[in-house]
Order: sequence, then structure tokens, then C-alpha cells
Amino acid sequence: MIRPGLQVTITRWVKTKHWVKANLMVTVIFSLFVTWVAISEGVYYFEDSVKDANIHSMQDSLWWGIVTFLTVGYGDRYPVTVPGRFFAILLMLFGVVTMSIVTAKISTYFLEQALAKGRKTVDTNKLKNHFVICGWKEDMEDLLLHILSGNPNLEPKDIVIVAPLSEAVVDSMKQHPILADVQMVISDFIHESNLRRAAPERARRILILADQTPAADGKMPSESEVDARTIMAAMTLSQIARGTLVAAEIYDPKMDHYLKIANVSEVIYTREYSRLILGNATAGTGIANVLYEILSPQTKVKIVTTHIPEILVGKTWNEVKRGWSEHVGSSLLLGVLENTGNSDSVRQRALRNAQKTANMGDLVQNLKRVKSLQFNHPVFSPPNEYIVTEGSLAIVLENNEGHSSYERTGKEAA
Amino acid sequence: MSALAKKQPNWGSAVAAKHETLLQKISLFTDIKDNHEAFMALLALMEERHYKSGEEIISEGEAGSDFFILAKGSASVFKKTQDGDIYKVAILHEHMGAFFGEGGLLESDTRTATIRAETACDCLVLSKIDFEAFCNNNPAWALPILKRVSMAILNRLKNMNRDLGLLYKALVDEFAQR
Repeated sequence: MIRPGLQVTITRWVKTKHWVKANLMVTVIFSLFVTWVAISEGVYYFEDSVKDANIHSMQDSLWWGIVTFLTVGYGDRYPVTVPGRFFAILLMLFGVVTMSIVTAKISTYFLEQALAKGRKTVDTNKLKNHFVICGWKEDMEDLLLHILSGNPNLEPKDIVIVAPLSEAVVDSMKQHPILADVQMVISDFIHESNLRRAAPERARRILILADQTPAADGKMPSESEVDARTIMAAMTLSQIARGTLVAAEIYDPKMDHYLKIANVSEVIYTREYSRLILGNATAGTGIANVLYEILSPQTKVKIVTTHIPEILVGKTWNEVKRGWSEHVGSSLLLGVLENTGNSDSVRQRALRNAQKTANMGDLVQNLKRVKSLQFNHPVFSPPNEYIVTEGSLAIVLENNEGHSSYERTGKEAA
Repeated sequence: MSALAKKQPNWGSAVAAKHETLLQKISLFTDIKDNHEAFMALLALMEERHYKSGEEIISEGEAGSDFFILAKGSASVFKKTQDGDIYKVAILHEHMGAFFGEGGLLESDTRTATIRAETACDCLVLSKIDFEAFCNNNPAWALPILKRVSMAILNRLKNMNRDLGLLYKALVDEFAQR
């Protein structure tokens, strides 16, 4: 059994320890002051009685004390007696320790300020027509470089990443020669207030990544956890950034129903794609190479969706095919992407068109069709009588290399 | 009878004959098809109005109490959706025996569609007041016409009931889905 008195002493000591830890600087400065005054007092007491000594007043002694613990050591005043020198040694030791604590604290403060400046978070009010990316990937730097090369009119400073990034990641981004200007909201995109800091309502596009970054405790989130976070972010965005195009990466294709509810216009099934490509590769069709050629930003061949000239909208596929080279150019027309754009505005447009009938039976049919509307629905080489509707984009294969060689031969002929 | 006397000189006999054949085609007048006298009495109350191409003959939502018969040219029927988008419902041609605004004969009411002249149009117009005078003076002739008017309205009511049933079913289906 511990005596009650001792127990009280222990609790008091534990409490004091906590307080000291919490208020380290106050404790250090206070104890430095007390030690300085006490030792100066002691030195003065022992030195004053000796005739050859040079410390004969409390003022001299305090002066000597401060010169000593700040390790300046003018030597205009110094103790000569043994007890005086003993106290002097104590003050020197104590001075070195406390002064280093204080110096460290001050330099840490300035260092943090400088680091925070380098790690500058976003300026929400200045964001406009930017590209918001929610989440982080291991190969994020490569992904960002791909995004930049795929969107020539996008600059690094137009990209805003919302993710709870570690300082190491942020610092390495800041030192990257190209990505140094990428802006970051260092917080979890699951919270509405954090998303708002990236001004999603003024963004041109938002990409939600399936972020599998381990949590603070090192635990990897499961795929369904990741998908749930993606869906929640998409739902929040559909409320606060109505009308902005949202693309979301998802693991489980069964979840895409929820993304559709959240008005996500483009869903990317990363796992599904790699599985499909692998499956194709085993058949020896060479499709993997074809896809790489089409998708890689390094190659000249690109598959893109482009605007269909107004004059061709509402025409049959046959007419569009024939009119394409005349109105657009030499790109190879593969098909159309129906109901493109923000799913919210597509639905609004479809709803308005559906109501343009005086016949209730037609109205009900039209509205049912609106309900089962498929957004960003690709139709490859449709039948000739297929009607190209408003809001569709053309899917074309562009070959920059072929185009330039074509121009060259044209010049030679001239 | 003073109203009759006042308007009578407007029609030459050739024009009157032409208009009579037009009126015979109008479904509202089917029951008095062979009644020359009645048609002459009606024609005496009607005036001819001319519209330029693109002009609105009646406008959706506006009040009106005139009944129109398209005598010459063609006109389009437009309606507005709840969102305010205008769409074309039908085109009326001169030989169809097309008429509109028959509701106005019974009571001055808001128009349910816009009719716009596609070409230069001539319309025979009968106002509610004149029609009431005709009814009072010639109840025997007016009765079959009124019967036809009420049948047209009854038909519209039937269609509306059918539409309501469709909408009702669509609404129930919509909620049954989840």
C-alpha cells in the first residue's frame, strides 16, 4: 500500500509534468529567470566578502550572470572563490541547455512558417474554370502529366487536388519541375466544407478517384469502402456543383447505379478495364496494342469525341457520314456518343422535348424514355437510317501523323 | 333582326354561294346541311377577316369569344408546354373544313392554343353575341348546331378522361417501381 501522502505527491508530480510538457517555453523561461537570479545572488554572497574579487554588488552579479548563461563571457566580471566558481559552473551548464531549447523553438517557428508558405493551400475565390481531382493515387504524378498532355489548354495551376496528403507528398509535388504549381486542398474530400474550398461549382470538370491511400493507422480501405466514399463525394457534388461535369472512378460496376443517381456523367471502371484487356490478350487478338496506341498520349493516333456541326444534327447517319468530310475534315468517323454533357442538363433538355406533344399517350411514352435515358451512351457505326440527335458528340479517330503527311503531299502536288 | 339587316349587304351572291359550300363542310353544321335559309342567316352574321402570313389569329391564354372558320390559306396550331416551350400540333388547310374557337360561342374563355397564319389567310368569324341573337331568332336551326357543339365538347371531355386514365396509370406505375 502506498501512503496517502505519497500518493498525493505522486499525483501532483504527474500533474505538474503534464503542465510542463504543455507549456514548455513558459517553464524554460521561468526557470531560467529563477536560476539566473538565485545563482547571481549566491555568487554575490560568496564573492562580496573577498577583497580581490570584482563582484561587489547585486547589479554586478546579475550582469555577470546574464553574460555567462548567454555564453558571451566578456570576462569584465568573474568569480574567484571556490563556491563562486562552483555556482558559475552550474549556471554555465544550465545556460547551455536552456538556451539551446529556446533557440530550437524559435528556429522551428520560422521554419514552419517558411514550409507553410511553400505548401500554400488553395485560394478558393480565385479558382475558375479549373479541374478538380478528388483523391490520390500512388502514380499520381504520372496521371497528372497525362491529364496535362491530354488537355493542352489546361495549365498545372488550373488543377486542384482535394486529398488528405502527407507533408512528404506535398513537398515532393512542390519540387516537381512541372507540377509545382498544382494547387492542393489538404483535407478529405468526403466533407462538404473541404470540397467547397476547391470551388467545384466553377470548375470545368471534376474527377473523383478511387483513392486507396491507407488511413492514418496504416489500414488499407477495402474496395467497397473506397467506392462508398466516391459515391458520397459524387452525391455531395451533385448538390453543391450542379451542372459541372463529374467523372468518377469505381471498382465495383454494380455501384454505378448510385453514381447515375448522383448525376455522374462518366464512370471509369478501372478494374473492369484491366480485366477486359487481359482477357482479350489471352485470345491473341492484339487488341491490347491497339488500345494502347489509341489511348496513350505519346502516340499520334487519338480517339476523341468532337462537336457535330449544327447542320448535321437531326440528319440520318448516312447523311452525316456523307457530310462529315465536307463540314469537318478527314478524321475517321466511328460513331456517336449520345446524351453527352452534364446528365442534369441532358435530362432537363430531354424532359422539355418530351413535353412537346398534345397527345397524352405520347407524353407518357416520351417521359418513360427520359427515365431510361443512357448518358454518354456510345453507338458505333449505327444503321444508315439512325437519326443523330441534339446533344450527341461524334466519336472520331484522329491521326495527327497522317494528317501532316497528307498536308505535305498536298504541298508537293501544288 | 336589325343586326341581320345591317350585315346582309356584305356578301355578293357568288361569294355567298361559295361560303355556303364551305359551311356545309363544317361538322358543326352537318345537321342543317340542306337548310339554305339557315346558312344564309348565319352568313349574314359572319364577317370575313384577312390575316397576313405569320400573323396570330388567336393566341393561347388570351380571352376570346369569336368562332373562326378557315376559308382560305393554311394555318398552324401551336401549344406551349408547362416549361414555356412552343411546339407545333397540327397544320390546318383551307379544304379541311377547319374551325377553331367554338368554345367561344358558348362563353368567353381563354384560348387553349395559338393559331398562326402560315400563308395569307381568310377566316369567317362569328361572334358570340351574334350567335346568341341567331339562336334566339331561330331556335329550330340553332338546336342542331348547339347539339353538335356540345358533342364536340363532350368528345373533348371523353379524350380528356382517357388521358387522365393514362396519366393515372403512368403515375401508379412510376410509384410501383420502387
